[in-house]
Amino acid sequence: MTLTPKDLTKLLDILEEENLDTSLENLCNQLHQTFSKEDRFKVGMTLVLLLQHIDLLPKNVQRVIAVALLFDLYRGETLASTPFAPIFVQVLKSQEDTNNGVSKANFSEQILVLLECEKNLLISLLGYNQKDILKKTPRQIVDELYFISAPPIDLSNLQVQLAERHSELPSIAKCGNSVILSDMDHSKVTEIDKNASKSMTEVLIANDPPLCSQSYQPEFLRLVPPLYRSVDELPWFNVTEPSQFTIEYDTNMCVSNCAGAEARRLMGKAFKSVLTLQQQQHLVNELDRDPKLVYHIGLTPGKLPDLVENNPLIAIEVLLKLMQSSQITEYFSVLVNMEMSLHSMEVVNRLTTTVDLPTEFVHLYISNCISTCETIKDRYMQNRLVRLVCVFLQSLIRNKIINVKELFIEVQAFCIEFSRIREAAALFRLLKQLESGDIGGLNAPSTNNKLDMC
Amino acid sequence: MSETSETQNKDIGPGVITEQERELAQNALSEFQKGAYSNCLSYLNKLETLRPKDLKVMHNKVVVECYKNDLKKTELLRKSLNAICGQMSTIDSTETIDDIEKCVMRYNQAILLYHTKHYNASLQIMNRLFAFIEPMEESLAHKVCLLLIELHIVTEQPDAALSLINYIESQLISTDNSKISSVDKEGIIKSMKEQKEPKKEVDVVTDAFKLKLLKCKARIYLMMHQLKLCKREWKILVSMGTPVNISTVFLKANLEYLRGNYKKAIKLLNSVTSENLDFKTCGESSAVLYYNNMACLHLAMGKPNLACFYLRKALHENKCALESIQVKDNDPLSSRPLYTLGGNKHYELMYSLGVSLLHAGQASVAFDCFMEVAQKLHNNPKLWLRIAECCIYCHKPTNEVDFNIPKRRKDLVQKVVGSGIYRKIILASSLSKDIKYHSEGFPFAIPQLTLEFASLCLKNALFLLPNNNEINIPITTIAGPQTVPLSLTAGHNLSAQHSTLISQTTTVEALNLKISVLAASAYVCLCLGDYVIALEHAKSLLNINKLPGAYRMLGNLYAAESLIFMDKISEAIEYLKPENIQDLNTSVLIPETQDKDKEKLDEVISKPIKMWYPTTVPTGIAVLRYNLAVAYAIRGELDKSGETLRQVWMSKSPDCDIPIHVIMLALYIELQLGHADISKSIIKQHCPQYR
Repeated sequence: MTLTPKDLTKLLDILEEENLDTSLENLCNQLHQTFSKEDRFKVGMTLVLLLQHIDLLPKNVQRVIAVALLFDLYRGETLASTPFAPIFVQVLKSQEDTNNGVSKANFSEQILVLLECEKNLLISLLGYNQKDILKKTPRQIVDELYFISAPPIDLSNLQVQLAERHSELPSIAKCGNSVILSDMDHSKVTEIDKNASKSMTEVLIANDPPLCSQSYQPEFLRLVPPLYRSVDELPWFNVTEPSQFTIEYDTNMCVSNCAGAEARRLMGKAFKSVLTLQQQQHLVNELDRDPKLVYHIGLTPGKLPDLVENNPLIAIEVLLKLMQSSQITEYFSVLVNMEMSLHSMEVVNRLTTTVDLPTEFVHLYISNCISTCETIKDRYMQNRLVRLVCVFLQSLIRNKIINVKELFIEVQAFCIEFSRIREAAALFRLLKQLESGDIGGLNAPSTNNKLDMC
Repeated sequence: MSETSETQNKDIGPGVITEQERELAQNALSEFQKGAYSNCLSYLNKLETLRPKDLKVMHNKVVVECYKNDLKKTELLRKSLNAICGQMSTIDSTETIDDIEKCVMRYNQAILLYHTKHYNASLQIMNRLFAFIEPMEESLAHKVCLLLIELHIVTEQPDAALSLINYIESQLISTDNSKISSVDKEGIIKSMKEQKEPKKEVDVVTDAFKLKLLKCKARIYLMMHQLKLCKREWKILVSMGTPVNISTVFLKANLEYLRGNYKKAIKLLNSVTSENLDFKTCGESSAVLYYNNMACLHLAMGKPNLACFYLRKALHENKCALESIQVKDNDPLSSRPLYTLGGNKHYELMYSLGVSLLHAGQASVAFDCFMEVAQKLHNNPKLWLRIAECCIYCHKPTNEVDFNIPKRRKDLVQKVVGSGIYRKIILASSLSKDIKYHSEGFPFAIPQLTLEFASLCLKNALFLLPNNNEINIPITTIAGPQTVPLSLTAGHNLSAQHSTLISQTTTVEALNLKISVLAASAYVCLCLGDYVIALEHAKSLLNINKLPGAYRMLGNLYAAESLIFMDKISEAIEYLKPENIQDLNTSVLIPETQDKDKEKLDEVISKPIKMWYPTTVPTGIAVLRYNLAVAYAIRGELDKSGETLRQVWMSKSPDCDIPIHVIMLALYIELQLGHADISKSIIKQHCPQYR
C-alpha cells in the first residue's frame, strides 16, 4: 500500500526545484501520466508525508508544487468525496483559529507544515479561480502569493459534506495519531541534502504497513481472566472395590413353591372371575402366612382394576400387604384413575378405615368421583353413583378421615348440583352443620353399613 | 393378559417341582459354594434335561460357566443373559420388571453394565429392580442396595444417593420396625413379632452391611463437601470398630484434605504400607490411588510441579497394572476378569496432569494432554474450558506484565530513524498484541494453540454447561437425615422422590464454572474482534447473582470495551464507574452450615495456586479509571480524559500499580492537543536513550 522506491523517484522528479518555471497545470498532467488511477492514494499519502515534515521537502517551490499536485490528484471528482479533503479543511481551520486568536500553541505534527504562500495557494485553489492559478508557474505563485493574504473563503459547505461522511464512521476509527514524531537534533550541523531527504522518505514509506500509515489509537487495557479454580480441582480416588460387585447365582432355583403355585393359580383366576368364598379364604390365608408371597403371585398395577371389579375383598387384602413397598404409589395411582364403581369405592373406603392413606390420594379420588358423576350420561347410573359418593363422603367425614375444610367448596358444589337426590341433600346439611361449628352432627351413627350393597 | 402371565410362570417355575429336581438343585448349590464348578455344571445339566424351559436353570448354568472362566469372557456372558431374559429396554422407562423371578438375572445384567462403564443403563435397571427390594432375600437385597448407591455416586448424584441410604437405613435395617407398626393395624404386627427372633442371628451380616453403608455415606459427604456431617459419620464408623484398612485410611485422608490439613493427609497416605491392592485381584491398584491422591494434595498446597511428578508416576503405574492382566488376545472383554474392565484410569489421570501443568505454566504440554483426554471425556464442559485456557495462556500468560513500568518503558518507542535534522522518533502503534481473525482462512477446528480454536472450545463448554434454571446459592442449610415421604409420582423410582437435602457444592461448582466460561468467552471474542457476541457474554456474566468482585470488574471492562468498538461510547462509560469494584475475589464461596464451631471452609477452598493479578482493589480502580480516560479520549473529550488520567497517575502507590498504557495515553493526548514538545519531553523522561 505504498510507493516503491522507483515510483518515489518519479514523484520527486516532478517535485524538483528545477520545475519552477513549468506551469502547475503541466506538472499535474505529468503526475497523471506517470501514475495510474490505482496508485493515486499512495501518491497522495506520500505527498502528505512530505508536506508534514519540513526536512523532507525543504524548498518553498517544492512545497508549492506538492500542494498543487495534492489538490489536483483527484481531478474530476467532487472534492468532498476525495480522501484528502479533510486535510485541506483542517489546515485552513487552524489558520483561522490562529487568526482569531484562539491559542493553539505550537504547531502540531498532524497538520501540514505550510507557510503563508502555500496556504494562500490552497485557498485560491479551493476558491473559484482554480484554472487561472493552475496556469501559473511555481515561481509566479511564490512571487505573487507570498505576501498577500488571500481572503478567507467559506468552507462550510465542504465541511458539512465531510461531516456527513464522517458521521458514519465509528469513533474508534477517527481518533488515531500518527506515530512519527519529528525530533530535530540541532546540535549537529547538517546540510539539507536531497539524497538524505530521499532516503529518509524511503524509510518512512517502506514496509507494509508503512510507518507513515501507522497510527496509535487510545488502547483499552484488556485484562485476561483468571484460571478456573474448581473445588474438586483434581479428583480424589477412594477405594471403590469393584470386585465386590460380582455375578450372582440364583439360589431360588427349584425351591419348593407348592403353596405359592396354588396361590398363583387362584390369583390368576381372581383376575378373570369371582372366586368362591372358600377360594377367597384360602387365598387370604396363604397371603397371611407368607408376607412375601404377595410379590410372587403375579400381581401388577395394570391388573389391579380387574381384581377390584371381580374380587374387591382380595384386592383390599393385597393392597394392605403392599402398603410398605415402594410400589404402592403406583397401585394408588391406578386406583385413582380407574373407572369409578361400587367396588372401587368399597376398596378405597376399606383402605381409608384401616390404614393412613396419603391425603393427596384421597382428595384426588374424591375429585375423580365427583367429576365422574357429573359427566355420566345415563340418568339411572348417575343417580346411583351420586348416592354412593354421598354415602362414601359422609362416612369419610364422620370418621374424620378427611378434613372437610380442604374440599369444602368442591363438595358443596357437588351437593348443590345434585340436590334433587336425598343423600346429597343430607350431605349438604352435614356440611352446613360442620360449617356452623356444630360438632354434634359428627356423632351421628356411622353409615358404613349402607355401603355393603353387594 | 392373565394368560400371558400364566405362560410366563410356566417358563420360569412351572407347576410342581419334584423331589428329584429339588435334590439336584441343592447339590448344584453346594458344589457352587464349594467352588467346584465342573461338578456344579454336571448337576445343572441333569436338571436341565428334566426342566428344559426353566429360565433359572439356564441362568445358573451361564453363571457357573462364567465363574469357571475366572470371570472372563464378558461378552459371552452378556449375550447369554440377553438371550435368556431379553434386554432391558432403556428407552421405555415405564416398563417394569414384571416378575420378581427375574431379579437375579436383571441384577447380573446391571452388574455387567456397571463394569463396562455403561452407568446410566445400569442405573435404569437397578432403579426398577429396587421396587422389589422388600421381597428379596437379604443378601441379594444388600447387594442391590450397594450397587445402586455406587451407581449414584459414580454418576455424580450425591443427593439421590443420600436419600437412598436414608431410606434403606430406616426401612430395611431397623429392627424395631417402628415405621411399620404405626401405619398398619392389627394383622401385620403379629407376623412382625414372630419374625423378631430370627433377626438376632443375622445381626453380624446386618452390621457388615451397616458398615458398608456408613462408608458410602462418608464418601457421599466428602463428595458434597459436607465435612461436619462426614466427621460425624466417621466417628460412628470408628465406634463400630471398623478395622483400619486402606479404604478407611484413604477416606480419612480425603477428609483431612478437604479440611485443609494437607500435611496430616500426606502422613495418613504414607502410613499405609502393608496393604497393597493388586489390580489383578481387586480391580484397582493402590499405587495408582496413592500417587493420584498425593498429586491432589500437592496441587492444593501450591506445588503444581510436584503434582505433575506424582501424576506421571500414577500414569505409569496405571499402565503397568493394565499390562499385568493383558493377554495376547485382542478382545479385552474376553481376556480380562470382569471387575477389571472399568479400572483404567488413564484419561482421568491425563486430565489431572493437564490441569497441574496449566497451573505450573506449561500451557502447551497441558494442551497436548487435554487433547488426548478429549477423545473420551468430550462431554465434560470443564475439559473444553481448560483447553481454551491453555490457548489464552499462550496468548497472554498474566496481567502483571502490563503493570511493570520499568520493564515496559522501552515499548513506548518503536525506534528512532535518521539523525540530525532528519531525526524522527517512531512511537509504538499499539502496546498489546491484537490478533483478530486470521485472514488466511485455514480451518480453525484443527486443534492448535490459537484463540480461534479457543473460541470453538468455549462454545462447546457453554453448550455443555449443566442447565440449572435456578443457579442460585441456596440459603437453606442441610437438615439431618429425614424420612423420605412417599409421593404420588407415577414411577416408583426412589431417585425421583423429593429430597430436602440440597447439594450446595454442586450448585456452587456449576456457578463457578459458568462464570469462568462466560468470562473467557467474552475475552476471546474481544480479542478476535467479535464485539457483539463479546457484549452478550459480558452481560450474561454481569447478570449472575453474587458474582465475585474480580469477575464483576472484568464483566464491566469487557462490556465497556465492546460498546466502544460498537461506537456506543456513552453506554460504555456507564460500565466504567469505579464504584463497581468492592473486592477482587475470584470464586463464589460455599455458604456455611450454621454451627457453633465455624470451620474456615471458604478460605481453604478459594485460595488459588497463583494469585490472579491485579491483587489490590486500588489497582483495579486504576484500571477502570484508565479505561474511562480512553473512552473520553476516543470521544474527543481530551480535557476530561486528561483529568482522569491525572487521577490515575496520582493514585500510584505501593498498594496500587498503574499500567504502562497510562503513559502512552498521556503522549496521545499531548499530541492531539498539539503539544509536541511536551510529548517529546515525556518520551525522553522515560526513555533516556533517546535524548
